[in-house]
Parts: sequence; C-alpha cells; structure tokens
Amino acid sequence: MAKITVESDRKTYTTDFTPADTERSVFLGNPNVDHLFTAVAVLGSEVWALRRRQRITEKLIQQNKGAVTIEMIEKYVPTPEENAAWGAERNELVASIFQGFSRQADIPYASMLHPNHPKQPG
Amino acid sequence: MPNLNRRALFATTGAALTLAAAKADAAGAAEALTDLRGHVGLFPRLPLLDMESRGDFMLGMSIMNNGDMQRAANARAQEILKSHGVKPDEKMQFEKAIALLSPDPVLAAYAKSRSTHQGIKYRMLQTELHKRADQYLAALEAADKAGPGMVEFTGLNAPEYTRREIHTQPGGYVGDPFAGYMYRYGTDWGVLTGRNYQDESHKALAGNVPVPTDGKVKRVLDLGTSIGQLATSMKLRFPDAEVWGIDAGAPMVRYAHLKAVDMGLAVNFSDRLAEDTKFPDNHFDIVTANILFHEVTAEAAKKIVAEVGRVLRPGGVFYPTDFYTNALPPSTAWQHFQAFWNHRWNNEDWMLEYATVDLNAEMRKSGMTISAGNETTFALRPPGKNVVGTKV
Repeated sequence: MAKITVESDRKTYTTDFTPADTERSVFLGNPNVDHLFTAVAVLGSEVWALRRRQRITEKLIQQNKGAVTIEMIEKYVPTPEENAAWGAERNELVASIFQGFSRQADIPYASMLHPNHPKQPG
Repeated sequence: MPNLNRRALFATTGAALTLAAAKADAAGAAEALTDLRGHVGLFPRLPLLDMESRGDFMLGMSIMNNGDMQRAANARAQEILKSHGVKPDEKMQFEKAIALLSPDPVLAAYAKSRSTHQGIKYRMLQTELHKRADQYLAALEAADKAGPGMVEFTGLNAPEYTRREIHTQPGGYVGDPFAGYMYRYGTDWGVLTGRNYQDESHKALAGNVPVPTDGKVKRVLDLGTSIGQLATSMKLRFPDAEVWGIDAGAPMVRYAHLKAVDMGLAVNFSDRLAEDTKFPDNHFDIVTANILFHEVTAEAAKKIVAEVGRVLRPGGVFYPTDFYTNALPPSTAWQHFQAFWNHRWNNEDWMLEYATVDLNAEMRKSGMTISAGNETTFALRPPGKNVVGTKV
C-alpha cells in the first residue's frame, strides 16, 4: 500500500491505496524507446506552452501599444476565435510530432529491391 | 448551513497574493497568481498560464489518440486480422486477440501514446497542485463550511477494491487530497476531449434521464458521483428536488461540494458506498450511476443493484450509464484490444469483471422492470438506447 503526504497541516480526508505499476510498462520493445516517446511528448507540451505564451504576448503588445505586464499575459482569456485558431494550430503541431507512429514501416534499409524501378540490381 | 460565498472567502487569499505579487520579482509574481486567473464559465482556470497550456497540449494529444491514431491502429488491426483470415466482426477469444495485435508497432505506439498522455498530464497536475497544497486545502476547507448544500465525511473505511489508482490517476479517488481537481482537468484533457468544460456532457446526460410515469421527482441519488457533475446537472433539471451525490472517495465528494457551491446549487454530498448507501427504503424517485460499474468488482456491482432496488420507491427509475449498459461486451479482436488497454495499462482493474456482469438480469432480480430509454451519446458509451430500470 502507498500513502501520499502533503506539505500542510490541514485535513486531507485521504487514505492509503494500492499503487499502479503502469509506469513500468514497455510498449515499444525497449524501455529507453518508451522513455524517448515520453520525452518527446513532454517537450512538445513545453513548445506549445511557449508558443501559446508568445501568441498572447504578441496580441497584447499590439492591443496595448507595447504596455504589457506579466499579470496581463497570465490572466489573458483567449476569444472563441483565438481558441478555435490556436486549437487547430495545436492539433497540427501534435500531428506533426507524432504522425510517424501511425504509419506502418516494415521495409528494412538494406532492402535491395525498388518496386517501381524496372531494372533490379545485379 | 450558512450560505457563504466561497469565491469571496478565497479572494482574501487572493488579495494577500496580489500584495505578495506586487512585492515579488517578475518570476515570483507569476508564481503568486494562484486562483487569480479566475473562471471561464464554470471552469476554474489553472494557476499558471504555462500549466494551462501544457494541459492544452495534452488535450491535443487526446484528440489525436482518439482520432487519427485510433483510426490508423484500427486499420492496421484489420490488416493483421485479414492476413489471418479473420473477419472484422468475427468473435475472437480474448487472449488470442491480445497476442495477435499487441506486438504490432502501430498498435503498440497507439497504446503507448494513450498511456503517455495519461501519465504526463496526471504527473504535471499532481506536481503543480502539491506545490500549492496549503492554498488548495484552504480553499477546500472554506468550501466545507459553505453552502448551499453540504458535504458530509462519514469516516468511511473504504474497501480495498475502491483504493486503486483508477485510470492511473495518482492516488486514485481516495489517496490524494486533490483527486477532484486532477479528475476534472484530467478527464477534460482526456476521454472527454474538451467537451465538458461547462459540464456539457453531464447536462446532456441528465436531460436523457427518464422521469417516473407519475412525474414525481422529490429525491434524486447519484451513485459514484465523482466530482458531482451529474448530481449538479440533475439539480439544474429538477431544481425542487433534494439531490444527493455519494462516492467512496472523500476527496472527490469534497471537490464536488466545492464545485456545487461555486455553482450556487444545493446538492448534498457524502462519502458513502453505493452498495451500502444508509438511506431508508423506498426513498428516491430517481437513482443514477454514471460510469460507476466498470470501477467496482462484480460482487460489488450485484450488491449495488440490490441496494438500488431497496432505496428506489415503487415506480422510481434507475438509470445506469457505462461502457456496456444495454450494449454487448467486447467480443471482436479490436474490442478486446481496446478493453485490454483500459484494464491493464489504464489501470481499470475491474473493467473485465464488469464485462461479465449481466446488469439487466441483476436489475430484474432486484425488483425492476427493464426498458430502453432515450438515445444516449455519453462519451464512454456506444450510441444507442440505454437501459432503464423501473421499480415494480
């Protein structure tokens, strides 16, 4: 059983629990390949966080003729139009990062045959 | 219960933070903005823009996982099955299906992507929430004392089967004080793919719940209420009814109450078991249970249905919605592959047991007649008519 501790003296109403072992899973044949997949996803989320902050900052600079504070950036609420446009941009970024994983790839580099070339080597 | 304004109470903390922010350097000021980013409708914004944006990326991953990546994985699965002479709708034994499909790189990447998405988002949420543990606990404490509605902590000794890290949420529903927060953000960036920020899915579900034929709805009970989204949606539909939401997870009902207080809705929440609700016989006009049954053992599921039969009044209605309510359990290779990921790698420990329970038969045994309800399009259930139980 596991127990989560909290840095506070306030009541938490929690209890112990049976921890999952799912973080030890290996899907891609080698744990390090799995870790790389996870690392790419984390980096993707950081890229998106920076890009979104940049979009907001640029918008506020334009709107306020350069007078922008950190609080204005943090509290900015995107318009429905921005949500739609930025959502589409985010989905494109996600797709561009992960698209290869949805493709079947089974022709090895050392393959000598080119299916569309009339003359085969040798 | 005094009707205290929770947001006003918490704004005191906010004012102190504003002062701190004014004195702090730029980086510190951003960090001190906790809870000052306000709400978007019902949705409380996360304390930092970057945290919100990372979550937004996770939403994008979820859209991909449930869209293009799932379609590619399904297409690849059908190619593999075809090469083995198996038709798409042909039944296959569970172990055989997993052995056949799991090793394929495209299918493995799909499974990995779903697991990675769950892991990253919950780790990020847990880390950031715990950095501000005292502030969030102060908010929960303030809400405990606020109304309308109330939250009750019974000191329930939750059975071991409920103390699991359901869908890999850290601590599950019982072990982390911020389970409700993690569930709310995590499900919306995940399985509900951004379609429930304003409880839209639950409001639609509440709209589908059938009313007893005599039209009387004085009391409503939501079992396994989680963060109370269906309970509050039922209150919105039946404003004069006394509505209760119960769950084995005390941190979940605690957050449910905070959320209901924010919405100004008088709903009562309590940490009680669905199989032992402690309510009197023939007490409720409507009982709901949304995505509860796949989180409990087969034994508990049967006890829960018996308990519903006890607390419903004659003519009262039971409306359970879950993966296989009024739908067939997995039988094809692709369905087994999906169910297996949920069971093994999404830590839905009781998912496969749930598939073995004949819920309709249990409802009949507990004194209900069975009928088909409205078309239900809740995210986790296949489209079609959901089951309705009416107590004789």
